[in-house]
Amino acid sequence: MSTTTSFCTQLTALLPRLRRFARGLTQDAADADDLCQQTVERALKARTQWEEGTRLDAWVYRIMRNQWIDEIRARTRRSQTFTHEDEGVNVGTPGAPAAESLVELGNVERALARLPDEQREAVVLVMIEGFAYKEAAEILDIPQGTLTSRLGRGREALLRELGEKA
Amino acid sequence: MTGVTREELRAYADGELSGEAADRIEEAVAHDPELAAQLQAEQRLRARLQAHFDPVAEEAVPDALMAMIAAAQEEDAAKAPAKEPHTPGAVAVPPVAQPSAQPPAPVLDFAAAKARREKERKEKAKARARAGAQRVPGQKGVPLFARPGLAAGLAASLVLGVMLGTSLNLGRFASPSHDAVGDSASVVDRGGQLVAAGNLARGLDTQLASAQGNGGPLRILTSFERDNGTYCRVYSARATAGIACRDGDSWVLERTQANQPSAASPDAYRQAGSAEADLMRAAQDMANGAPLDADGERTARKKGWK
Repeated sequence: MSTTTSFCTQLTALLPRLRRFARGLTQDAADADDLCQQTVERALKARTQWEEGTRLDAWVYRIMRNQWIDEIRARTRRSQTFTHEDEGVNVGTPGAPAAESLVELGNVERALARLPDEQREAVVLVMIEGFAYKEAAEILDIPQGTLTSRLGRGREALLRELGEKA
Repeated sequence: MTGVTREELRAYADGELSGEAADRIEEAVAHDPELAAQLQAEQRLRARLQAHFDPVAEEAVPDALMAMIAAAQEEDAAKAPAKEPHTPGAVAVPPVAQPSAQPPAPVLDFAAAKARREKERKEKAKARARAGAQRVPGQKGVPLFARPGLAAGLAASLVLGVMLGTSLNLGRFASPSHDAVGDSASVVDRGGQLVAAGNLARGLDTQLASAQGNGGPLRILTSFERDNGTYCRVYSARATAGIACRDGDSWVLERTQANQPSAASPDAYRQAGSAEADLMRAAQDMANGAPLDADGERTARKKGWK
């Protein structure tokens, strides 16, 4: 297989996971779709920079996460200019949920949305996307100790919020 | 408390610990109800998050995304026309599409199995969302073998696995690429049949479903005899699960399914659970009578599964 074929095949296979990651980051179906689109665009543009044999998933996840950070910053700037602080960041309509899980959906997404961005991304990468600490730290470009402490605070808050406290 | 810190417990729940470090936590959890409750809370949280977000990964991927990638590939192919390809249409086919047109390379078979599995998971996700997290598929109305003792024993060991994370190796540190290599190294293609090799073959030869150690990379779920008198075994390894049947000195893989490659332990278990329930159903169809009990397994092993 040529590098391109391998890249494109792998990227296609990653799409379902990327969509899940996007939803975890954004808690919003429309935002997640936009984010996916932008991420795939960026990844394709940069495809010659990917080294075959390295993990494509971590590479693309990093693109997605950085893209989302940019978006959050842009929104924060806009909201500081035009609206009350903080509204632009976490406001979102939950995507079309199955009726039976509506309540649950509200809870989980609300709890995640309340986390600071840095805790949320750690939680999402490790607990939803299943990355090892080391991999998640690399994607976020932070030391592993920083990752585990953000992760710890994040899950502490979630346990409290979602009533899973033992 | 048993000298296990919150961080260690979480690292364990996240599948970060292995070997002695993991054993130590398991030991402590087994003797400390409070610690066990904390671990369960961590696992429930994780299961709940995943139950919530996994369905997104099972939705159909928008055509626009696939088209973008396909266009890029064509563009590259046009630049280097000599180089291309022997997997026609591979990119245009969504990962969840029907796999029938694909060539029978093992990797693609795994993808196909995964597509099948994901379809089933979609249905289960709904039930799960309704019933709350931490459900063991083996328990809920899936007709396991008719023998109540074994079914109960299996269900109990599944529960125990969820509780204590004994299934760690299903997903621990799993990186998709490494997993694929690791497992396919244990599988060889022999005249179009997939045959167990290496650790997988050894495990199928020697491990007993009735005497399962904690946390080996391979678990035997059950063993049974087929109509033609040959023995078959349902197994679950890190990246794949399947049914292997004896053919001479080999184990032919009659079915293989992908286990979720990238999740860490507790839920890798949960997700693998549905693949396993599938396999148990298939085994039930294949089996001639009840599965082997402990003695039956031991006897069969003594005879080299012949």
